[in-house]
Amino acid sequence: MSQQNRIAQTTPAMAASSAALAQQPQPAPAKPKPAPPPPPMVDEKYGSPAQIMALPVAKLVGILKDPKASMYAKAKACQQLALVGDRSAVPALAALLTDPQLSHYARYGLEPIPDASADEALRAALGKVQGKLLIGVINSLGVRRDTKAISALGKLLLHEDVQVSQAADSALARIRPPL
Amino acid sequence: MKTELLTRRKLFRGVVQAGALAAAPMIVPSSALGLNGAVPPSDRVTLGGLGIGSRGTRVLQSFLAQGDIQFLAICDVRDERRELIKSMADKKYGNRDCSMYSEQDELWARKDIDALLIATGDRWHALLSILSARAGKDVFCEKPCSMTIAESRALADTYQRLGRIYQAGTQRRNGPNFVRAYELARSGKLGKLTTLHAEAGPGERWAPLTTHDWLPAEPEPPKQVCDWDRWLGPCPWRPYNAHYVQGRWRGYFDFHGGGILEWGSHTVDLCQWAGDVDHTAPIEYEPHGMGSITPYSIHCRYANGLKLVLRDKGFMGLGTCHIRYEGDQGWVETADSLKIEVSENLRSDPWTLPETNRDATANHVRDFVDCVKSRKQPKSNALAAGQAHIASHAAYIAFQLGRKLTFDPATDTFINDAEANRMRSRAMREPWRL
Repeated sequence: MSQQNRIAQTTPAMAASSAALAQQPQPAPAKPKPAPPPPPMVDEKYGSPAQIMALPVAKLVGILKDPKASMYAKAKACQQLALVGDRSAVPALAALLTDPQLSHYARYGLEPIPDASADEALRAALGKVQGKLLIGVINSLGVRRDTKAISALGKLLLHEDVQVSQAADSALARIRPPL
Repeated sequence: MKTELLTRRKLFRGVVQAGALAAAPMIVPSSALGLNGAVPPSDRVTLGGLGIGSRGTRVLQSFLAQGDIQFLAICDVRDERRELIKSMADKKYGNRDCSMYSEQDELWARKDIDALLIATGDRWHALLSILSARAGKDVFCEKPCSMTIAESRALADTYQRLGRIYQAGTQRRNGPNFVRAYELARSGKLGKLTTLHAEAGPGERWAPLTTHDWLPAEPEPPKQVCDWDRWLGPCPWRPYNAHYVQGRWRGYFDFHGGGILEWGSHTVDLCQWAGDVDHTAPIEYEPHGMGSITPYSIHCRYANGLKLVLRDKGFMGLGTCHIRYEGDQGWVETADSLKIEVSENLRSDPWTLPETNRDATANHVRDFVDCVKSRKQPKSNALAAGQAHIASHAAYIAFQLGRKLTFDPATDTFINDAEANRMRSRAMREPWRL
């Protein structure tokens, strides 16, 4: 049967019904299910983040000192040290403050460590980093409310980079006791 | 208090009046004078958007439906989202005026914009809300409103100090059935409140614990297509993968608070409201169900003895985001189906769902716009939202640690638990700070 003949056999009632149907909002086509995420990364030497983050402090510090450890493994070690790190972890974390890729992760680990050595490490880094990394170190000193940093931060108020100066001002506002 | 908004309006009125005197006859469009039902520009709230995804689009539609809102600009790190939102606004207004920006500073610099809708991923919510307030903007921000207790406190403090208007996207405070449940609780019809129940995100959908995994690296798109560095914002760096930016960032520790924050930001918030404890948080958090994704719960207690149970199972099947309020003389339970179940003794006091204003999101948007104009606090203001998020984060921390925690809401400090206290904040990636 030709297409023309099939149309000719459509009754007026059927046509009206079809037209009405066509005017009704049609259900949206089912959304294609999103592809599942690919398997997460696993560090060849140290395994998954869960495995890395289950390690004791000494092993986590060992990852930071391992020149062959990946950035991934070091990042996860820093994040776990934020929870369990102590004075013994500070030198290894401090050494990463000048690393452009890991400086934030080092601060992530250092910022919550309840030991004055973390303040000392951050203060010492003020003279070693520039630009955004310097701003990050200043921000962490502000979060820790390190009163021993007041003098150094005061000098940074005059820094030629306005963003550095603003960061110092913001940190000092957190550190200085109210009048 | 003079605000930039009022100053702008006064300035506009002044310009119109001065112009009318100096240049008569002056032709002023009728719409500008509020004729034919249109709202004069001086009474409109001008709005910009920051990171409008799927949920944000739904909220933006509610904004665009308000006659006294003018949406002027969109800022997003993804060009396809910028284009999509611009086309939505331009279609609404029949012009090509909606501006597009990729960096938020450009939006903040727009002195003609009064308020912002923030609907990025959770990682940006608190920081953008705080920086926007400092830039002189009022904010409607999607939930969860913060990633940490420290962010929650900074959010509340900033808005208290600056006097800006903040509405968290916890729209159920303006949902008729949730309002009815609140009224039953606060009117004393349930007797003395004993236990508040808040539904947490179902574990099979949002596991209560998030992962520290990274997805494999993919080539980063050009910055103008997707600015990955700005997408990450204050979060730790990780390699680009398209899954994250396509909305599948939930479940990752750096970006998301799991099921407890996903729904707790709504339901704990409602419980705090009903319990008249918007100004504080529970002092005890005892997790149950660790080691599996469901069922799980956290049993909390306020200083006044009131209990809060955050759990992902065991509700009456009334839809999503259940709450249940129990007193010594009755109980009420409701959720997103709009249905309400009450104890036998309360059934003689029937309640009918109103014929209009059923849409909680539309009501919530209206509440915000009214408050931008009146300078009164909206229902989900920064203090209420901040405290509800502090409670939710404290519950999340207790679940992660798998032990009972005690908390001092006056200082936002866990008592005798150094590890829990370390989890109250996270170092932000440079140059960002609270």
